[in-house]
Amino acid sequence: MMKRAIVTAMMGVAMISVASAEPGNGIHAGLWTFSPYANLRGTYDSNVDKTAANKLDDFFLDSEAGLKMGYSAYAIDFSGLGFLGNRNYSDLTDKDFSSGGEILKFKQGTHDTFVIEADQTFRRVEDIDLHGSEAAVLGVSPDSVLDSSATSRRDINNVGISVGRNLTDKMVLDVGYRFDDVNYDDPTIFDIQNHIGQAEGAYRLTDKTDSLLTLQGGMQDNGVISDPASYYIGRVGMKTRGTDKVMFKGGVGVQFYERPSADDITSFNYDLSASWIATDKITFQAGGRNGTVLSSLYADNGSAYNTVWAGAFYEFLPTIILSGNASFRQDDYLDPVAVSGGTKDRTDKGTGLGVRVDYMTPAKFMKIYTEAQYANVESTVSPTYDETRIILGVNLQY
Amino acid sequence: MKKTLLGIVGMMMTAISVFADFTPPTAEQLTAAANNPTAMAALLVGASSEQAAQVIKAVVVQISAMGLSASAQAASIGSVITVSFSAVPAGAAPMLAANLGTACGSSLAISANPVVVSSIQSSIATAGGSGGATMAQTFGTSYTEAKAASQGAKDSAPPVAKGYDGQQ
Repeated sequence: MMKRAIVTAMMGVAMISVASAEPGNGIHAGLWTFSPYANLRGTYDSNVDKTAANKLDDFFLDSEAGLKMGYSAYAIDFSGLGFLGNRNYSDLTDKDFSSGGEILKFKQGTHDTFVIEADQTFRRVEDIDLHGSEAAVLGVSPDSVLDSSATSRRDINNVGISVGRNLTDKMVLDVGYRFDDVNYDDPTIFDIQNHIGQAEGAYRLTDKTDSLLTLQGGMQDNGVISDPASYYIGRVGMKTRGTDKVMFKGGVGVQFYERPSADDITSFNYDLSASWIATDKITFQAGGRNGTVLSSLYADNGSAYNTVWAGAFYEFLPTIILSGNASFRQDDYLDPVAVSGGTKDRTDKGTGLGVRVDYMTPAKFMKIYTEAQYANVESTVSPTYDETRIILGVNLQY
Repeated sequence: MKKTLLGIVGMMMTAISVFADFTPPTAEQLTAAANNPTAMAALLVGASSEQAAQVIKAVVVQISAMGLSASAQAASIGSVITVSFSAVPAGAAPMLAANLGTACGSSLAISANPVVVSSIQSSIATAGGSGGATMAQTFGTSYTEAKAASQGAKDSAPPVAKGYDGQQ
């Protein structure tokens, strides 16, 4: 029995080896693809504690190893990611931390018959959630769950499911549900649970454009509020389809936000994103959205946020890509917050700038990059601070 | 008379092709098409552009797993693309390119291998005739968007709204 198992295992390894491509292209075994990877990045941080005074600077090394896997067949796509990481500071070693998680995505069918998508992820992270953009479900960004991209240690669970089909030859309907659960390690930060339901209908106007109607409803709970806050959003908009240079998806509308111990709020709501491929070498991207989220910092308060961003890529050489980006986020708290001596309206503004150079080495499995990031954060309840990070990284992918 | 009959039969065949219901291909049919791309046309009868894109994607995945040399792989993919784009009405080709970009960007088997993606794109440019260059760009645009959505934007598209910590 043991001998048979060993022979079977050896045959399996041999089959994978035969089907494998060279490093950098993934390991192909039938309809499965496996792609192990390792990332290393060293960072100089000018203000580790993000303070206005008595700034502490330090170097730290982020290391991450993981495995991407995928299965593709007719009208079926499955992908998975598992990763483990560490951050080690040069001097401030008490801030060292580890991270890890997994992301699973499954899609079956086409809109002509019936398409179903399901997503699930668990991530234990600290500082910026580097895998957050991979975990977006229903086109809803993970950072829309939080009253800030609160960067202290947290466990994040997301699950989502959506179904869709063509109702007529011109009309498409997608309906989905998403649950987010964010648990902070720090007991003074309230955990957040978020339920979102969304229906989006697209109606073909021309060969290249669809009109959109998006309806969204959600419930938010931080565990200490007497009843969950709820909201409803309706947006109308448009999106491009099958375009070659300009892609746009966006809508504008109204949001109704209800908290148990406060007046309902009706506000303008938008969600826009656009790309413009100006030339073979230059691409521009921009976007913005707003919304209201329950606070994880105050028991019965919320934040109306606005975030906008823009970026550009330039393929300087086939092996060298230059990119730059800018982002801005503003959080306006719905109620005054407690400060020494009374209460005060709280508004936070965060501005981020970044430039980056990516170099694709002749060895296809290795990419080297360097990046500079600058952030400036001002608040009506605390002194303004800024932070600069200089990064040098290498990505290895089989 | 014979010519007329052949013409009528030809028109009937065309009508059947256009209005026939699409039958999803079996694994054996996809394997056969990977080995003999001329079989692609039969698999695409009655398919919408989204369904056709899924068929092409599935065949390209099979070709990627064959362990062919780079030149043989590019030639096979080129044949699949050429036959497929010839099999759909000219007006449907741009949407096929867009849907193929989306299907390939969502598939790790394809997106993990830039050579395969490049082969598909260059084959579309050739197969698409005078509109080939535009369709190839449409493919690339849809591919990039789908890849960013399924695998994250951090490697290829850094400009996401990054977090900040003003809440302490």
